[in-house]
Amino acid sequence: MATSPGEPEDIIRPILNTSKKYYIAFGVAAAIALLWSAVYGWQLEEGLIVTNLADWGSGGGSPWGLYIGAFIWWVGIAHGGIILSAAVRLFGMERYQPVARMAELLTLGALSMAGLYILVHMGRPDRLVLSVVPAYPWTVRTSPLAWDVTVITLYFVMTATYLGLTIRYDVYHLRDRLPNYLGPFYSLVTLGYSEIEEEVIERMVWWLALGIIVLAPLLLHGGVIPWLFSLVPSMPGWDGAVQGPQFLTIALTSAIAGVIILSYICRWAYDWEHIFSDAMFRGLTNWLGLFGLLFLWLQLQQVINGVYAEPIAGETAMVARITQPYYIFAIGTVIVILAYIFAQAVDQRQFSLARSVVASVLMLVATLTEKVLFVFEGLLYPHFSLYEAVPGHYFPSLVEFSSLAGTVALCTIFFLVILKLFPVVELHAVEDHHDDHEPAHDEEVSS
Amino acid sequence: MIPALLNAALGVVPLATKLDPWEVMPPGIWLIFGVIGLPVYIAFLGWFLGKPRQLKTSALGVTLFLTLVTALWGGLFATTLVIRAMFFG
Repeated sequence: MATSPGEPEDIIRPILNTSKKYYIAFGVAAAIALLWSAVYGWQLEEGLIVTNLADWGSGGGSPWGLYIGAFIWWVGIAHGGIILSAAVRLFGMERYQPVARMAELLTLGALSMAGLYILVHMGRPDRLVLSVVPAYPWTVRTSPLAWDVTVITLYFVMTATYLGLTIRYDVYHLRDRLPNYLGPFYSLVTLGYSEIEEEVIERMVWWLALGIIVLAPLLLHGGVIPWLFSLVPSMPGWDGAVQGPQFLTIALTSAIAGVIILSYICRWAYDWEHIFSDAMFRGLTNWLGLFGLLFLWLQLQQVINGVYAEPIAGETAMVARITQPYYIFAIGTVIVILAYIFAQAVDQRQFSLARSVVASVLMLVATLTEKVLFVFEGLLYPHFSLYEAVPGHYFPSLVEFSSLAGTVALCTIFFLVILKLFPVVELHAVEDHHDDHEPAHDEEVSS
Repeated sequence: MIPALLNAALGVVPLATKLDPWEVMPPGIWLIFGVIGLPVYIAFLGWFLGKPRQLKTSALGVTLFLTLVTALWGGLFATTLVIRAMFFG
């Protein structure tokens, strides 16, 4: 089944009309964000002592926990989002064109939240910029943290440039239907616009998409982000080149889940059933299944390697991981989700939008759990069981848990603001379908 | 005379070289500016050398890119200054 054509009026409706649902969503998100900023303010006043993070080693604690786990989780969501959009442009996956911009925005929102987590995790966040920038010429030579900062900056800027170039077309062609009070913003966005640039912009965005599709999966979440852990030789729980593909599969799984949830919310709020069709959601569900399967497969690789005849340190770390109830919960959840996805893949009657959305939410819970466990368990089981007899453990405090609600609320506010500024569905997605009189089955083939 | 000179010359020839490739070319230099940067360089080259192209539009793209880098780090710096004024002043 092909995606039904929408109208340009459909995609500008969120800008022109403000429903009660919008106000409620904004109010709830703003209240949660404010509440969390008060909690964060308390953390700034008192220091990281208000969290359950503690000194490593003889201190008996883990200095990295939920904050760093959530950082990787948000980065993962961000990385997959733009990959979806770039794939639509490079590989002609027309079915997913309506969600392409949503995926780009998810990248920007999620990456901002990841950056925020770095700030939140610092004892003195006011020193962040001055401790990174002046020392950069030296730190970039050997520090994976400096590499991380570089690639995240690059990634954010490439995505924002991509978005900045593509919205010019939409804003220019819809300008007379958009509200005048946003005139200065639209003038800035379409600065120097001429219709002859359209073909050039389309090609420039293609080049950017090409760069992004290599940079994001292979070099960022499949490379630099896992190097933060896998290059540390003293932590067997983090060790190994498998962390590259493992991080990547978790990122892609989380991102597809995020796109499904966001698209579903927009479809529900704006009656976009004809734009975000069931067929599109079913396709996304299948992708969720494929990436989820790869996630599980690489976990299995690690488990088998870790328990079969691994040196003692690696085995200790792996046994600790697989006997951890939260790990069993995370992996069990992914298995249940995959059972549903497999069932709906072989029997279409098993598919329902509600089930796919629930599967996506659970998938995000599972990937977050796995990420947080990966971070602090790696620290708690170093080589030589150095701190075996030291008492202490880690479980996130309420302050840390509240940051999850706070960042989700902030990301929600980001989307609610964007919904009022420019179309979150590309004008091309509507126009192309109007122009496209090909039989519906062609789209099935292309996707 | 000659053997004495040879002896003296041999004395200044290093018997072992201390060439550490890690110091000559640290990993971050080729990983970040070589490998990781490659997709970005290709995208930029595509803008300026690929077809169709238009110098004005390519320049717009580069300006947008650089403005965003500045805005990102400038915004972050401003935020950290606000945090300093409010909590560590």
